[in-house]
Amino acid sequence: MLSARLRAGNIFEERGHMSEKARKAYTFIGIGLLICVLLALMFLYHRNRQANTPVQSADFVMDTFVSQTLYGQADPQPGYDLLHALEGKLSMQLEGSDIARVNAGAGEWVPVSEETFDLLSRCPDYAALSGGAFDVTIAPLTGLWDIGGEAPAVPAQGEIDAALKKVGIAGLELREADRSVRLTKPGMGIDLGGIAKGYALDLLADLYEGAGITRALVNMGSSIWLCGAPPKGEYTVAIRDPFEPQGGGYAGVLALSSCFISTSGTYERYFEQGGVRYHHIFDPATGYPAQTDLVSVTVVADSGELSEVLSTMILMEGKARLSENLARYDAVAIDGTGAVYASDTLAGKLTLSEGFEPGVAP
Amino acid sequence: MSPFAKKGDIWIVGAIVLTAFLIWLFYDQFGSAAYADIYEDGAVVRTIDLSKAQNETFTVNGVTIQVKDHTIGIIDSTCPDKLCVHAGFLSKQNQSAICLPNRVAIRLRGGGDAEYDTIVG
Repeated sequence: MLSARLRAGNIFEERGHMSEKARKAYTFIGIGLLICVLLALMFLYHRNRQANTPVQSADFVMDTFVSQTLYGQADPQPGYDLLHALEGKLSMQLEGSDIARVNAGAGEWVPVSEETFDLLSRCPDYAALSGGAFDVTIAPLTGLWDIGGEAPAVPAQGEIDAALKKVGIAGLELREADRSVRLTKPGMGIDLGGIAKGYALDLLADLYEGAGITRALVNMGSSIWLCGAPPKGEYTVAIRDPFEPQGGGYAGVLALSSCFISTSGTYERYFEQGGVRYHHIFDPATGYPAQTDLVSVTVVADSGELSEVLSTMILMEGKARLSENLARYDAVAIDGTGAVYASDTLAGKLTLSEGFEPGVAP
Repeated sequence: MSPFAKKGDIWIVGAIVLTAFLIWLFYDQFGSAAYADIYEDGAVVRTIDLSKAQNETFTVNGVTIQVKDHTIGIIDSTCPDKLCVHAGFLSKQNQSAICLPNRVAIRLRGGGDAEYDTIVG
């Protein structure tokens, strides 16, 4: 009966059978219902729009430009607060941070925050996983080379040898009882530059998921957290063009949702001397930037920390262990010729840009 | 006699309501322009509607920004590496130019011509 009234035509068809008064009443009801339905549609549409309208924000934290895209009118500030607080604990440059105190007090036991202890407790495992390549006690070398500094230059071999003596994960000791950390030798140092952002994204994900956020995108430059999925199905994540990293170009686009992504590349920070490129990822075995025949490795994982560790590890291990790594992890690697090697799990989600060709890992 | 009783009036009222609804829908759906948000230290210090923007050049904390033909880019900076200048001119959604030393960034949103949601690396 109601639906019949909604169809305006029926009101008039039936008028012959109705009194003038009833006809007026039906007319009012009809118009009222039409307006109500339209208002309800507008309300539903608006609510849906709001849930799908991104709230974009950004801040400079942890030596990177962090941008957050949150949906459903969520407040990004608690996220930034978390990142700033974490930077105050994990940054080796910030005076008074846990890491700055551990480094300055090398040789002594230094009490640290829960987060720092938590992260450091897994670092020996990552060193073992990567055959010693991923080592957070690399600070004496990164400090010596000073890749991002004013006038970087290749240090004298004697200096490199001296720094190498102060690098080694075995020199990192943790004591649960009083949540303290000790570097065994003076001059040793921890540099969490290759893992802190991934860990930060893990903590951010815990915070947001605990607050009921179901859709978000947080970009920390070389690491990203994708929370949930957009209505179109999946997020599109571009992998920066390693040959022209500043041009905004990209090697390809991955369609992904609900995951963490990290990219490590030899193009990110480097200097050139005598025609040789010296990049920022150091090999604790040689004291030099890691010798690798890959220029960029992207890893998709269910933890930010792991995605960062693995992308660095796979980059350092190069083509020699690539097919093994692509089978074990979800990764996309690019070599110096623009050949792109992808895990079977990601190949179907990857669209390559012009100039990049699929390669077959040896 | 009530004015609503007339058949013609009802059609007019219905048509007005429907038209208003369609116009609202249209503007909500397609009215999004391309905006450039300029960040300094985490806060948006200026937002430029690129579709309407006039050409201009201005400076934010040592970073010289130029708006040219509805695109925007960093053309000079006091930072040592000038990576932000190499980012060139931005015109598409989700593109960005970042100067870490000066803590200034430009990020584009809206416009609907995004090639990707985000970029990693």
